Amino acid sequence: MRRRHSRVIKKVVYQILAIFFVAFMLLPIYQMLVTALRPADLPWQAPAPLFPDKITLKNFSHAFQLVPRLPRYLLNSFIYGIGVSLLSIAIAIPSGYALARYKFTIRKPLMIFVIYANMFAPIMLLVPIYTIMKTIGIIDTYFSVILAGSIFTIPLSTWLTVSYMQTIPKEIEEAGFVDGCNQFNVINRVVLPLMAPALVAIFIYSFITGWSQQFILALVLIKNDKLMPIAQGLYQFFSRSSVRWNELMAAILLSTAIPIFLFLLVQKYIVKGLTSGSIK
Amino acid sequence: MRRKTVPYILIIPLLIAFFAFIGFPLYKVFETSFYKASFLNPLARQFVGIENYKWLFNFCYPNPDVSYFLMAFGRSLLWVACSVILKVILGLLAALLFDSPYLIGKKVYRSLIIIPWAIPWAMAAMMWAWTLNPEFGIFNSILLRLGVISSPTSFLASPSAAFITTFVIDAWAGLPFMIIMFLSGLQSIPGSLYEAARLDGASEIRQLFKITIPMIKPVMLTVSLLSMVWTFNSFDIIWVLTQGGPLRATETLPIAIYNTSFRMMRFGGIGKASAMTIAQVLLITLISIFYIKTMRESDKA
Amino acid sequence: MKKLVGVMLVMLLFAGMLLAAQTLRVLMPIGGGYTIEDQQAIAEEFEKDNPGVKIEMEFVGWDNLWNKIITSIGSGSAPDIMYIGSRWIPALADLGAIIPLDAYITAEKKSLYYDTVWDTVQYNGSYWGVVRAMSTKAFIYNKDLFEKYNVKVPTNWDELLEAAKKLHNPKFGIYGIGMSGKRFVSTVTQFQQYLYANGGLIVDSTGKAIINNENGVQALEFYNELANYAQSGMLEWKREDLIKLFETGKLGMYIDHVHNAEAAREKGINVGLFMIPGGPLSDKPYSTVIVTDCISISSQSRNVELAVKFMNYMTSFEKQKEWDLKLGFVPPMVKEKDLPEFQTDLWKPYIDAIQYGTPEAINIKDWEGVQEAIVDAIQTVLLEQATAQEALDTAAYIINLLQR
Repeated sequence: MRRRHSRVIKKVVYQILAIFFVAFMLLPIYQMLVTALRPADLPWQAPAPLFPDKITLKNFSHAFQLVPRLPRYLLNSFIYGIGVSLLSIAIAIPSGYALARYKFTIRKPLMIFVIYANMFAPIMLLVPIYTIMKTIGIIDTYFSVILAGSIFTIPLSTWLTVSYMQTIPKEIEEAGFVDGCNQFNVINRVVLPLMAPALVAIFIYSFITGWSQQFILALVLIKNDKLMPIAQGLYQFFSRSSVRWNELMAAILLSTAIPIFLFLLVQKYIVKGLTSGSIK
Repeated sequence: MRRKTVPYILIIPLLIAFFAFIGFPLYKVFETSFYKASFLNPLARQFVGIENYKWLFNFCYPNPDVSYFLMAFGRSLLWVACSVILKVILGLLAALLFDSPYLIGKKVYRSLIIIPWAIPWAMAAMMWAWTLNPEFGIFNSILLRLGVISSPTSFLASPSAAFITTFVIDAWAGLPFMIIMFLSGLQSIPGSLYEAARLDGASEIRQLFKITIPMIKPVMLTVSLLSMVWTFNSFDIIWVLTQGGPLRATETLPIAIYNTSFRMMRFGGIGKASAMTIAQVLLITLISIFYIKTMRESDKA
Repeated sequence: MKKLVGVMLVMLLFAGMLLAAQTLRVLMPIGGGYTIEDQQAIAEEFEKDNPGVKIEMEFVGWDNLWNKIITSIGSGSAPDIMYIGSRWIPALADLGAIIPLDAYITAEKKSLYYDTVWDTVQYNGSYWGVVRAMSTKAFIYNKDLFEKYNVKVPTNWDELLEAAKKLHNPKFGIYGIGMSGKRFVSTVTQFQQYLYANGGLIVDSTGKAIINNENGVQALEFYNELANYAQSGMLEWKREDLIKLFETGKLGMYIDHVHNAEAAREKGINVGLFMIPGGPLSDKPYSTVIVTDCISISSQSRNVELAVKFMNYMTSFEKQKEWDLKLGFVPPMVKEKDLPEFQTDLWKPYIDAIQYGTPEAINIKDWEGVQEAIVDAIQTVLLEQATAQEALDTAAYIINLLQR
């Protein structure tokens, strides 16, 4: 009888804790939601109402009126997201495979550098990166931002690949070789499918980074407004002297809805993918 | 194709990427640190040798007794430590919570708490600034209605409050990643261990300390190192919330580097900023080495 | 054969030069009411009136405009025309990044604007830009609250303080005066209003810091005094946030632009306005700070004639009037004030104040650095870590170093 009681109590307590925790994590999003749904012509209320008193969807459409290029900016962010994730995968997978499966001279130092490279952030290397891009001649193109962005997602992506590869037994590949496949066939047909969860994890991680964190790179590497990511659009809600908060919140919600939606689609693979079990 | 050359072929893109876009720029930053140059005219630069490195310790601003760089670095150390400790502890607790058999609707919770990760940091910070606003923020509103506070309180107006608030928000931003990592770590602990312990009559708390924590230590150490390195570079959140204020209370190293490059036209310059960056890189490297060594030691033990 | 090739090359070169002569690169800000569409429309109209000319506009958010300008100058790819805040003129002029425009400003053009407007673009004896947007500020107040607490419109600083005290009733959620304390540009500009209103200046005509003279110290002490009757958590508010508070009806008065007065009125607040009163040490009854943005021509431009033409096109009386009305900026041209659209009670204090106005930042070479120093001083005093004299002495010391 006692055990049952303590079990019920535990369930209740845990549930409460979980709710509080989620509330903490989602509080600003809730505030954003309430503001985005509130008619913009209503005067502000202080203290803030806990629940929306009036709801409208007008702010969303009005956001597009205020910033006509908003769809373009959303598309650009999407391009950067996809671009960075594809490029990251393209570089991380072969490299990770090589590092995991082969013993070659520079393996250890390269592995260390892969982990070490995580410490670099765009803001540190901005100026030289700009110069290099200029020299190659790709300033003011999508590719420059995609390339620059991938640099910072490749280290973790490679590391994840290596870790995950180490959980796949070599025997499976050996079998592939026996069946007559050459090296690259093995990777394609045998390894990649097994690596699906890790692939998804890398994809999502790089996509979100490419989608959201690219602003400072875009600012420096791009001059043409038509190539700017969503953050540039959000700017235009900031007047010199007043901010269109309601529409801004609507726009931010829109711009985070897409990565969040994608994320929720694939999230069970992510946990598997990041599991790897041997990030040790 | 010979098996020996295959790995080298496979890693060519990686090598190019690293060399061209990390190695070379890093070298450039290193080179710039020996020059005096302004962003306005980076080509017109003068060679000044190690002057900039001396400047790191000599330049005392605004407090005439302490070096600008060291102040910023000290703040970074403290701020990063607080944020990372918070992330690790809360992350682990949350992971335990969301892995617990006592919780109903685990899947839903897990999906919900990961949402903050998809939001760009600068925007998340803006949202928090709004949420914590004394007049219009929901947080104040809730506290007022619960009677916890009697009048609107500010969380960003005093130096100490701003410091705490910013690292808490930084922790908030990094929690989803932490939780995922810990969850995966927890899920890789074989259930048989717990079975055996239960048959032996061990209480749940004992199981926690004897099985869970030791098995999760490697993940914990790896992930906290990664987090520390990332948090050191945290710029957007502080910038949006306080711009380094009030009165420089939240002026961590990235903010100071930014100010030196772009704000302090007379006192600063990109040469000095490069020196600061190199110093930061060196220091983080040292800390990482120290950290990894400790990790190896505890593994052996 | 060689001759033919030679002739072709010359023709190509010529054609290339012609083509180059026909493209004008313009850098414009967005945000703050400036939209891409509005500015692009002007470019298109100019292109129509001038066939063969192409205008390439590049847009950057206000926050990043300074960075964009200096990076493009540094990399040798500066646009022909740059829209700049006039406060940046000393820095850009010293760098040789922009050209003086005296040769292109006719006497007729000059007479179109107020003298104080030209003062804002003057440096080292030359004019470096043509003003495109101007703002002045005044006090916006809540007439209902004034009536409720029996407050008269203040005409000097003692009355201003009295008014703030009477209006301040935090128990009912009402704050006397809205003030900015966040580590942000607008805190400095808000304080500047009081500084200049009291006859103080940041630097004198030789560029030496005088912000710590008795005018300045008194202004900062007054600012600190008023802070007692301001909204809670003042140090996390910047001026741009105050309008929201004013719109809730919880704020008695504060200093801001005219279009926020309009916005508040639309939200149902009974809005009134009064000019910023002069301080005890000033010889002027009222005061305001005149901030302008202007159109400048970069020294890297190879199309100066065309640039001047476009510049004059944008700043013709008609176009300027359109611009000001659309964006809610204070009209910089004298004749505009006689237009019926500017005769409302909202515009009046802003336009009347021009005669008492002081330009924002003449003779300051490193505006960013100076701002840092001043905001440090303000926050130090607000946090009670030093007296106004001490804080401003430190600021003056730093400013002098920056001015060297």
